[in-house]
Amino acid sequence: MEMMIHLKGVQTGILRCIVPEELSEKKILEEFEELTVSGKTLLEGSSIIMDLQGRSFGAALVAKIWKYFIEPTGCTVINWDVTDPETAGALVRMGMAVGDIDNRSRKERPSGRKASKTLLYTGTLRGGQKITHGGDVIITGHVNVGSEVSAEGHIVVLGKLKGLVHGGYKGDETASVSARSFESGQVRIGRKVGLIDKSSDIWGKAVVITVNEDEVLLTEWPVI
Amino acid sequence: MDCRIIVITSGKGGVGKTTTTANLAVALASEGHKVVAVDGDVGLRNLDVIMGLENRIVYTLVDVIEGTCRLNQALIRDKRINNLYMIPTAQSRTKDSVTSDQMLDICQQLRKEFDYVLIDSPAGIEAGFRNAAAGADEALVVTTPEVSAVRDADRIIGLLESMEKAPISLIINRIKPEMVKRGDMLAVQDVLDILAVDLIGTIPDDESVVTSSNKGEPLTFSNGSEASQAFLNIAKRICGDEVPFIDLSGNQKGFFYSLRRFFGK
Repeated sequence: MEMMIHLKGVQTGILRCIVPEELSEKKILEEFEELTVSGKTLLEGSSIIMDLQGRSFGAALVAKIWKYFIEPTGCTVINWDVTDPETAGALVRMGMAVGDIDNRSRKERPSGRKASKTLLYTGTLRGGQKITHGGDVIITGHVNVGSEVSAEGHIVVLGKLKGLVHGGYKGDETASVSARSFESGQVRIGRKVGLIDKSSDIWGKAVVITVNEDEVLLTEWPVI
Repeated sequence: MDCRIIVITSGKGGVGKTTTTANLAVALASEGHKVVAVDGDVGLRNLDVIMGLENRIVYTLVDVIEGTCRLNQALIRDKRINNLYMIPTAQSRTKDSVTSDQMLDICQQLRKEFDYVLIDSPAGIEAGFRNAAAGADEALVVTTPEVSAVRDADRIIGLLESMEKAPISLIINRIKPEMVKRGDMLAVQDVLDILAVDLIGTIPDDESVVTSSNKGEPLTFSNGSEASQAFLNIAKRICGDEVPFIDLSGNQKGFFYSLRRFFGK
């Protein structure tokens, strides 16, 4: 039987979960349970806008959505989109983010990234070595050719960056990469890939790399 | 003195591990130490050829591991120099004929009898390398000043560090000073900047290495070439002596160079 609850992509890493008003509470929970299985890969680590449209509900349903959907899938609800004023008021009193998220500026949107400790790697990452971390990563030495760093957050390399780094590797394009000496032909942020030629003026210099207007941008690290 | 077990490895093949093992074994024995060189390259043995002992093989490392013979039956004493021995490996077997635990056990037995155990590692990063390194305390990483070799050396150093081998020292082999001077070859400092380990020796490219390998006479027996002297110097440094490095920057200016310049050639 076709599911009534829909998941719709909003932007990289953010899904809108649309729950039709006419669905009974029992049916909602049944479909959420099914989604935790069929949509596990898509939902894990994702940011969700929970769109319950004009439904009127209270804390009891919120607790059940947590138990049957949010907690088992590992997703994060970043906003509750409801049009019923009383429900909206109740959610606000519960500390939930409520309202039309599309009107918020991009930078204000929480990334949905779970808070993780910063990983401080002391030393040089050699060829063949790889770090994958759910937060920010700081490397005090070099990242040699053939080594890789993937971080959900920012990456800072206090030595020479010659290997492959991927900041915001789960799709967060607000992440950045900084390096004391940039000597790598490729850098990745979110879902963007930047290719740099050795003849570039920026090669061998201290840089900060970000995504700006859908492009990978390298700027020189400000000299103090 | 306590025995030192040293694995000679590289990652990349053909950079001079076996030649280095053979020449260092001879050089260390010449310094008065009791040395055994162990061929860790099961299936592709070459240490016996480089040392000129291939006709003396009766038992191999694999025979010892399988219990076919005792350890001392597989030891080949080099008659040309006191205190130098070699253990060959099997040519007709493969890397999975030996395990890390078995190599560790062999090394523990050798530790009781020798001052230095030099283990010639196969190329690569798989089981062959891991088995060769298993019983070693420290490592010599051999590289040539080429990007691909240095990259592989970096990989192997990372693996040795994770295996807690220490110290890890670097030998840069086959340096051609003229190419370095032209900028066509990595300089020693370039290699050190990448690999960030202590340098224990640099060896110039030398045709006599090929000749000596083919003859089965390691250079360090008597050859007076620069490469031979470089190996002797490395052996001294391994023993703790401070020996200046040979200048291989391509900026050497000897008497005849100056003479040629004087006459405008």
